[in-house]
Amino acid sequence: MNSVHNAAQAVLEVTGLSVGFAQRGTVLRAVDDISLHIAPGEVLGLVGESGSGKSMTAYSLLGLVEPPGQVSADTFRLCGKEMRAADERAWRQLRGRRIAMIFQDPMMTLNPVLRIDTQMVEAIHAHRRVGRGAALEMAAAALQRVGIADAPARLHAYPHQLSGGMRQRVAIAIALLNAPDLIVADEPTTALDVTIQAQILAEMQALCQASGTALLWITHDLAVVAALADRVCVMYAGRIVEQGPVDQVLAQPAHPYTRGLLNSTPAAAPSQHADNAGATRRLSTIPGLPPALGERPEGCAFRPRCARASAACLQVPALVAVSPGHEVRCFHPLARVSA
Amino acid sequence: MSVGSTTGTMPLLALQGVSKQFGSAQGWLERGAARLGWLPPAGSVQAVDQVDLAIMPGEVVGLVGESGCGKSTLGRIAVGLTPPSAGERRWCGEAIDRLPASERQRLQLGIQMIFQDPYASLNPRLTVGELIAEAPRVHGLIGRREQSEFVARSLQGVGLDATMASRYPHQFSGGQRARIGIARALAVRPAFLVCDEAVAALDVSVQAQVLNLFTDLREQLGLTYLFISHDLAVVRHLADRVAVMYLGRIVEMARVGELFWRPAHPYTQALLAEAPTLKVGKRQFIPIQGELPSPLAPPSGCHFHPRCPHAMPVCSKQAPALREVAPGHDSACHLTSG
Repeated sequence: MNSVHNAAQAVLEVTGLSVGFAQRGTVLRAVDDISLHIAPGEVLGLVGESGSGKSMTAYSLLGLVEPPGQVSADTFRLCGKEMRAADERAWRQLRGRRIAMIFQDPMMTLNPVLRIDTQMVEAIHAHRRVGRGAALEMAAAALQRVGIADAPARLHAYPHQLSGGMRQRVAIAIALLNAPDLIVADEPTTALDVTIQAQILAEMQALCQASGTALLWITHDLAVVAALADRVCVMYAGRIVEQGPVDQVLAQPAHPYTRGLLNSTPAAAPSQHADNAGATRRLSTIPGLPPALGERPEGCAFRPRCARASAACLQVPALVAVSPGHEVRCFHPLARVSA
Repeated sequence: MSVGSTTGTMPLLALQGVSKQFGSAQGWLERGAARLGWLPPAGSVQAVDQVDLAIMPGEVVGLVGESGCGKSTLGRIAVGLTPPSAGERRWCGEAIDRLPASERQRLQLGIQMIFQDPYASLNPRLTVGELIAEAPRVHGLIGRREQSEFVARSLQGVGLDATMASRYPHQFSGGQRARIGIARALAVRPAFLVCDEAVAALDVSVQAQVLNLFTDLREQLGLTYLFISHDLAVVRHLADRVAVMYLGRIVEMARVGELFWRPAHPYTQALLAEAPTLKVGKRQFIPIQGELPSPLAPPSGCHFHPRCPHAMPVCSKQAPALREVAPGHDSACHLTSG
């Protein structure tokens, strides 16, 4: 749960992970030297804005980056297996069985012309030799676990006959079929309504606690991370700029970008002021825009938007600890760096 | 700012008992067959059901609800893009849709709309300057000579550089396009803006910039907004008064502080409890059960009763009326109508 991670125990252990795209003689790094570790049963939130490289990180963790993208890493261990030089066969043995992915759009997972039972049985048969009857029972049980009432009837449905929330539940049920060690979820509730999102967050939380499945939850929404995750990594322009226990990072952000994000998030929490109409309140914002992939500044990529930037920021800062397990990549962090 | 001092004056825009039904398209043959009982009658969706909404000058009203609740349809009715099936739209007290066409067109300029996807609402073949100047030129508000100066001023007004006028929409980022959409809506000098999920597609840091722009424009130009959003935090930040919709009906309406502090309707309570917030921290969710019912076959009585933890026998029989539960705080629930 904390930063004292044990490489033998971690479900996922990567260091120096980069995803590059060669273009006109240079390599553009969508993901730039990031390190992640996730323990069994842990929920890690990966937060960033569009273009920060968070989805590309997810794809690289499942071996889904296709050429011309190039993935490189210093260490890459997944479920105890060395994956740096893994071929497609090795990946196929892991994917769907030990590690599963849930996408923002469940129709990325579901085939629109096949019934739900066909798709779920296929996913079971890809990794296990069981009879069709037993596979159907497993499928129905998986649907029940994600809160789908009347599972046997839903198995006969086609994806278009289900609502958006229901489709996402089916996608989650498929991810859970083979009891994976790690689930990578890329913005799975972003397109859903608030009440449906709350149901799915509750179910994911219960499922992970019950089965010890680790969860990498990728989102742009800090509030979702606050509700769900144990630890959080904040990404900016391909790098992790801050990581640590979620309550610490949200309560005492050390990186100016994290604080900027928190300050620009409007709060929905109830307050006692009976009538604080929003008219004159302004949100404090981060000036400028996140840089495009080809236009990332040298050194600290947040430098042009940062009020604390100095000449030192022309170099890339290292991740340093501000408290145990709480690390920041900044020369001028908002909290004091411990020795 | 005239927030709060707006009571007693005439509403800028009032919707009175507006409803909107969408029927499935039928040919004369199907219609005849249905009339003779050979085919079942066509299903129709009651997207908006008997809604009253009055917006005072200078006020920001937030309209919240989940997908399919009719909030976008209500916004389109307010702006005049969708004619209501029943009910009336009054602009400064006048039934605007019954006026002669020329008069209506002139008044209609005062009501403009900002869409969720600014890229879809911008013609990709026109430069930004042409896009902004088009409407005021057509309506004779500016002449050809004033055009470039007008465009420059419009762009600066929404925080863009005047030199951007010669660029095309695809050359801009999402946040800049949102600003262009706002500049276009403001080009005909409206008094009232309907913003339909205007910041939903933007990243958090860019969303904050655009929300501040809305706040600034309101102060500079005295604008009135109907701000439609699924995001409670955004509405809480911007609105003076909030209306909550569920399956075509307004179920609760109150000033923003009152609504967020003391929600009266069980649906509003559920929405507020379940929206993840930064402050609450990690916790166990106890979500309300069930999905949004299909608007094709809404539940009888109070539409929320199958999901409501407090449902009583009366709730499935009779739809509760919107009643005042506290000064300026209306709720449609049998629990509070006592």
